[in-house]
Amino acid sequence: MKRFLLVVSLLAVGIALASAQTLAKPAKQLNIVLIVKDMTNPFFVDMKAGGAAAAKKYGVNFTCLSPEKSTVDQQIKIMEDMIQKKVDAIVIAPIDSNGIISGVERANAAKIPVMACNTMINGGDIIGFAGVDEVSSGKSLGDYFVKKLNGKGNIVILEGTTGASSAQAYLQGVHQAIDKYPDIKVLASTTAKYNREMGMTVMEDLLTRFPTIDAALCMNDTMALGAKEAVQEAHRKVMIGGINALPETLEAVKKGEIEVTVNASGYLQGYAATELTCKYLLTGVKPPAVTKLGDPLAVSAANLEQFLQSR
Amino acid sequence: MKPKMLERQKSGALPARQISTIYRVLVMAFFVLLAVVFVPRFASPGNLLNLVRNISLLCLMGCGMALSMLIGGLDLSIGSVAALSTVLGATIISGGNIFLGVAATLLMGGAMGLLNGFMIARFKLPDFIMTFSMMYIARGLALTYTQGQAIYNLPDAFTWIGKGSLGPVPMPIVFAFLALLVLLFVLRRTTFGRGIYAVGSSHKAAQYTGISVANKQMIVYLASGILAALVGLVYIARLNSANADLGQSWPLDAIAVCVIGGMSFAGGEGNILGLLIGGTVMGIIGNCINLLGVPSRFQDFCVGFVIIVAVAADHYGKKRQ
Repeated sequence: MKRFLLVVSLLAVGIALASAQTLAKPAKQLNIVLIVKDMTNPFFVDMKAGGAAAAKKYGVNFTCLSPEKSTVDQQIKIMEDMIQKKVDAIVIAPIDSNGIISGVERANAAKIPVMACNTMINGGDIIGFAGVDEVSSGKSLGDYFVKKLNGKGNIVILEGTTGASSAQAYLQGVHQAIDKYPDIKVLASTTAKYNREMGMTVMEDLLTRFPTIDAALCMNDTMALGAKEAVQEAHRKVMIGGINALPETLEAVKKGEIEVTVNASGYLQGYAATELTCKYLLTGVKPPAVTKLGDPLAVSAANLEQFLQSR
Repeated sequence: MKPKMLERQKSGALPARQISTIYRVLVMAFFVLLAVVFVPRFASPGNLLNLVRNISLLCLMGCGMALSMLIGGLDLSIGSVAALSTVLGATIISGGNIFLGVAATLLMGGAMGLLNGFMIARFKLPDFIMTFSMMYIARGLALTYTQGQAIYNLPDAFTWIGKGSLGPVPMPIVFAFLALLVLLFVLRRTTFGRGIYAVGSSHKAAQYTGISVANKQMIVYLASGILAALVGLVYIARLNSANADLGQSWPLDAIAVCVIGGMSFAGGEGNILGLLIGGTVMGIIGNCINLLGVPSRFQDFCVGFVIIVAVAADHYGKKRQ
């Protein structure tokens, strides 16, 4: 209740001073915590940097925590600890959209706002979600090859696990990009179940089936790395694209073995989610339920160095 | 119990067994013929090479499963054991010490297999439960160890065992050939091998004739673990990377290979050369699904359907005798 009054009064002051463009300073220092999925993954190291930058801009104290083992139970434990510490807001990239709900409910009971980042939360009260959706990642991959092939060529698509929501979203994104170009022919679109072994065997068979393949669009890096082995073994020239920007893929891009990988910037996602939360704490303006961020970056040999330096 | 005994006696007689093998070969030939006639590019040299390589990997997977099925058990942990032993081994291999890494991988696979065998033989845990639990345990350890990251950039001298070839013969084929040869010898020509069939037919009867059931079970699961690690090594060499998600589909693939090849879930029945038939049918399904461009959503259906047709035809043939 106190916080509500504080927010209302701040809002009133804010409106009153709006013409003077003065930002109202809160009475006490605010604390925000960002909980990521796995600190051993460079993607989340980026996310932390983004969150820290946004918090700094708004003068809010920022902490980033990560479960030791990447499990949702440990994330909930961290949330409980943060509730005990009475932080002002929690930004979280949940490992599981459903598994995290009990943690969110506990934060709700303690009246601590929760913001979802990177992955949606399917229950409890959250103030909003900010992330790059999978459709735009797929579209970014498709756009890259449309440009690279000058709108003309033979491609194959290695889909994710049939039935998985991400697999559908990626595929939808790719088609948004390529369907406008009738000269881009999809020779085959088939599943390799997000799996490296299958990426290799499926690509082997596709290479047998089609004498010329210009590009293979893989809906994750793991399949792309498997497909790469098949292409090398067959001594063929096929441009391979993946999604996730895994360190292993980036090395392959550097060596010219893989053409491109899409990075759904962790930095941007961390920045946006933290910024929206800061604004909420300072002004009481609730962020939109879903904030979709811009197109993810396609990382190829052309911008690899620049990308590696930026993270 | 009585009819089963009778049936076993009948199929144990040589002519009947040969007829049933011929029938199985015919079923396989039928699938090969279908593929050659109806699947474009199936018979091209490049495709046949890929196919035979994949068939040998399937046969290699089937070897361990065949042993555990012959003794009346089942090893569901082969994929996870392969994942755990290869991520550990790959760490050493990528550090440059190939021999030590390969040895560590096989040792780890053997240790997990022996643990399976020990719990099954000494604590009388059902094979299904023990290996099913081991499937989770080994996968969990592998994931924890790697933290979900792949171990990659393996030295060329190592990847040769998966990508290279001995003369004109690709290495996976060499491994499968050797494994089948050794198993064939052990099962047909040694007392140990015949003991496995005896234990598989009836634990009690085998025990009464003085065969140590526990001993056989331990050795079989030990071998199954080592074979799983071996398949794992060939795979990570081909993929040029080791990851904790290796081999998730292996147990069921291997069971399909064994069942199509004529192994019985009841144990004590089956010819190790049947693996060639099972491997060929399973290899052809996977290959043709991609060559024909079967839609993703429909692929699983096709695999299940072909397995049923193959096994049903086999059983129909047996009944006719």
